[in-house]
Amino acid sequence: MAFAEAQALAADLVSLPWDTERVARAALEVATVLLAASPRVAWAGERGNEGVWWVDAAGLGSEPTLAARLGRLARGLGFGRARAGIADSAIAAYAAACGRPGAGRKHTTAAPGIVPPGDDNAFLAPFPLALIAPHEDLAETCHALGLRTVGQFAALDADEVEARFGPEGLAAHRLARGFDTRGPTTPRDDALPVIACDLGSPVATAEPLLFVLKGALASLGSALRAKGLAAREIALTLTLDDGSTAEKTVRPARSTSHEGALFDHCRAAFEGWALPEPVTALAVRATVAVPASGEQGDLLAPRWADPAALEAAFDRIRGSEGADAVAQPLVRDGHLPRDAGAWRTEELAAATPTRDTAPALTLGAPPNRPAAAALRLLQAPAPVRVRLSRFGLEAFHHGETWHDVTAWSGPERLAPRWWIGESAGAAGASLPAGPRDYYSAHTAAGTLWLLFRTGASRQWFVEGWWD
Amino acid sequence: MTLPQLHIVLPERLQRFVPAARRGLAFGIPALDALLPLGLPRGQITALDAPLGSGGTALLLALAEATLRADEGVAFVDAARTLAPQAAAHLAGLGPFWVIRPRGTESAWWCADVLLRTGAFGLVIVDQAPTPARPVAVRLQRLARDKDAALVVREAGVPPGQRERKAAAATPHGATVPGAALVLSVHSAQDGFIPAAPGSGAAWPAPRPVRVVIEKGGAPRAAEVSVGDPLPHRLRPHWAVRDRRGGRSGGGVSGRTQRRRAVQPDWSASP
Repeated sequence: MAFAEAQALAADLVSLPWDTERVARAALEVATVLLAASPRVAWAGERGNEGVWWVDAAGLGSEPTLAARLGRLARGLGFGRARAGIADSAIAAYAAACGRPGAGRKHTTAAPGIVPPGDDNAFLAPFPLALIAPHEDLAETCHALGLRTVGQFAALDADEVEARFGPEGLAAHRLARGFDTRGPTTPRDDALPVIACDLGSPVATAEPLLFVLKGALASLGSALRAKGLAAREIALTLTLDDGSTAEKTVRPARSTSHEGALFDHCRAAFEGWALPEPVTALAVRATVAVPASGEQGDLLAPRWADPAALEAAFDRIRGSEGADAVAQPLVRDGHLPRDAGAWRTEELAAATPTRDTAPALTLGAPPNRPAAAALRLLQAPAPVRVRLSRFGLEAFHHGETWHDVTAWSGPERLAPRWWIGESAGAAGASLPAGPRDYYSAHTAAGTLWLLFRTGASRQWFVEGWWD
Repeated sequence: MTLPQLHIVLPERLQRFVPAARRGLAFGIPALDALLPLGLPRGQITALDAPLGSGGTALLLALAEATLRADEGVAFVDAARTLAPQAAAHLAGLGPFWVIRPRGTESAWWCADVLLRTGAFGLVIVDQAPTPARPVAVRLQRLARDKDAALVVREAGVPPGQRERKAAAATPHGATVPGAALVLSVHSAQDGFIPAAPGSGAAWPAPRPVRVVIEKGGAPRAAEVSVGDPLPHRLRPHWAVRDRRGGRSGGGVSGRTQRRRAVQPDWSASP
C-alpha cells in the first residue's frame, strides 16, 4: 500500500523516518527485561525481524513455564500480543511463534509453540518457503519447479542446491533442514591452556625437570578440566641455556586430562632426549584437545567411578605395560585351544577382521553350573621330553621336573593353521608343521596338563594346564 | 561352649547384624559361602594358596562372577599372562570385568595399586604374582580399605616338584603374603579320578573335588567343592561354541569310532 493510499484511509497518519538508533535502544530495553528469564538474550536485529529476540532456553527447566514467564515480561513492556516459540533451532522457534500453517498467521491466543526436541525438521516441513526468506533467484526457481513448502525444498540434495545456487542457496537449504546458527551467543575462550615455568637457574639433570614437569602437568590438567577438555596431544617445550628451544610432542593413546597419565607419557618422552645445553625454562601446552567424555553418576549404584578416571588409569597401565595390557576376554570359534579365545584390546576393537581372525562370539551369562576348571596357556608351546611305555604316556619333563602321569586322555588330531607361523618355547623356534595329536595328562601332583605331539616330527610340547 | 564352637557359630550369628551391602564378597559356591558366612573381607588382603592345577583359577573366576552379578567391577591382574581368554569370556558380559596382563610379573603390584586407586572395582585379583614386599602389601591393604575393595592375591605357582620345599619355607599358616587377613589354601584331591585304561583314551569320570581350608583369619574349617566338568575324550570346547567336528556316520561304524581308529597313537614311533 502506498503512503497516499494509507493516508486516504487514515487522515491522522504520520510518517516518520526510520531511526535505527532509536529502534536499537528500544530493543536493548526489551532485552534487559528479558534477562530476568534467561541469562542469554540476543536481539535478532535483521531488517524485517526487528521484533524478534532470541532467548536461550537450555538448562532452565520447564519450557512452558519459561514461555509463560517471557509472555508476562513482554506484556509488562506493553507488547500484549507477543508470542514465544521454543525449539532446538532459531528458525523452528520462530516458526513455532508464528504458528502452524493453516492455523492463521495471527494467533488468537498467546499459547507458546513448543517443538519437541529433534522434531525441528518435521515441524518446519509444512511451512511455506517464504519462512526461510530465499533470495529472488532461488524463490523464482522453486516456484517454477513447484516447490512450495520448506519440506519440499529440504528434500533436495544439498550438493545440487549448492552447485545451482551457491553458498546462499546452501544456507537456505540448511535453514530448511533446521540448522540455524542464529541465537544468543556468548564469547568463547577457545585458547588451549599453556603452562610455562622458569627454572631460575640452568638445570642439567632430569630429576628437577621431572619435578617441575609434574606440577606443570597438574596445572595443565586442571585448566583442561575447567574447560571440559581432555588433551589429545601436548607439546613439551624446553628453553635451553643458549636461548634455543627443543620441543617434543606427546600423544596419549586416549585423550586425557589426568596428570598421572600425562606425566607417564612425558617421562617416557624425556628418556633418550639428548639436550645439548642445560634447560632454563619449561612449557607444556595442549596442542590438540577434545571434549572430555562425561557420564552422569548413579547415586543408587553400589559402586560408581568416574569413567574418565578409569580410562586414565587404564591409559597409565597401557603406557607402562603395553597397549595390550588392558583387555577383555572373548571367545572365538576356533578349533585349537589357543584359537578358541582372544583378548579384546583397544587395537583389536579398532582393527578390521581378517581371514586369520576367527569370528568373535557374543556370549551371555552361562547357565548355572559348578565352577569350571579354567585353561591356562603358556605364552608359547614348550617342547618337552616324554617317557613312554606300551601303556602310553608315563611321564614328561617340564620346568626341570619330571611329572609322573597317572592318567591321560587322547589323542585328538587337530590340524594347526599352517598358513601362519607359530613359535614354540622361549627361544621362539618355529613349531613343526603337520597335524597335532592333543593329549590331556593328569600327573601325580594333581595337575591336568595339555600336551600335543606334532604328527610329522613326533616332537612333544606342553601347551598349558587346567586350573 | 568351647572356643572352636564359638568360632564356628559366631560368624553365622553375626551375619544377621551385618547389613547386606557391607558384607564381604561371596563365591557363589554354596559350600564355600557356608565356609565363609561373612564372605571375603572388604578392605583387606585375602591370600589364596593354590598350587598350579589345584583349581585356584576356577575359584577365582567363580568369585569374580558372583561379584559381577552383585553389580561390582572386577579387575583380574594376570601376572603370568597364562589365562586363556575363553575361560573368562563369559564374565565380560556380566559387567565391568577387565583383565590386566602386564609385561612382567613384578609390575602386577603397581597395576593393582593403580586399579585400586580408581575406586571402580569391588574386587581386584592378583594372580600368579611374586610375593610382595611388606611395604607394598601394607600400601595395597590401605588402598583396599580406603576404597572398600577386596584384594585377593594368589602367588606365583610353584612347580609341583618344589612344592614341599615351599611349604617348609612358608610361615606357620602357609601364608607368604604379608598382612593377609584371610588365607585360604586350595588343594585338589585325586580320589575322583580313575586311572587311564591301558592303551585307550581315558575320560575323567567326575569333576575334581577340591579342598579349601581356612588357614588364617577364621576358624580352622575346611570345605570340599567340585571344580571342573567331566573331561570328555575331545578337548572341551566352550559351552556356547557349537562343535562342528561331527564325525561321518556310515557302515555301522560311528564317526567317532572312525576318527579314533584314524588317530590311534603310535607309541613305538615316538622319540
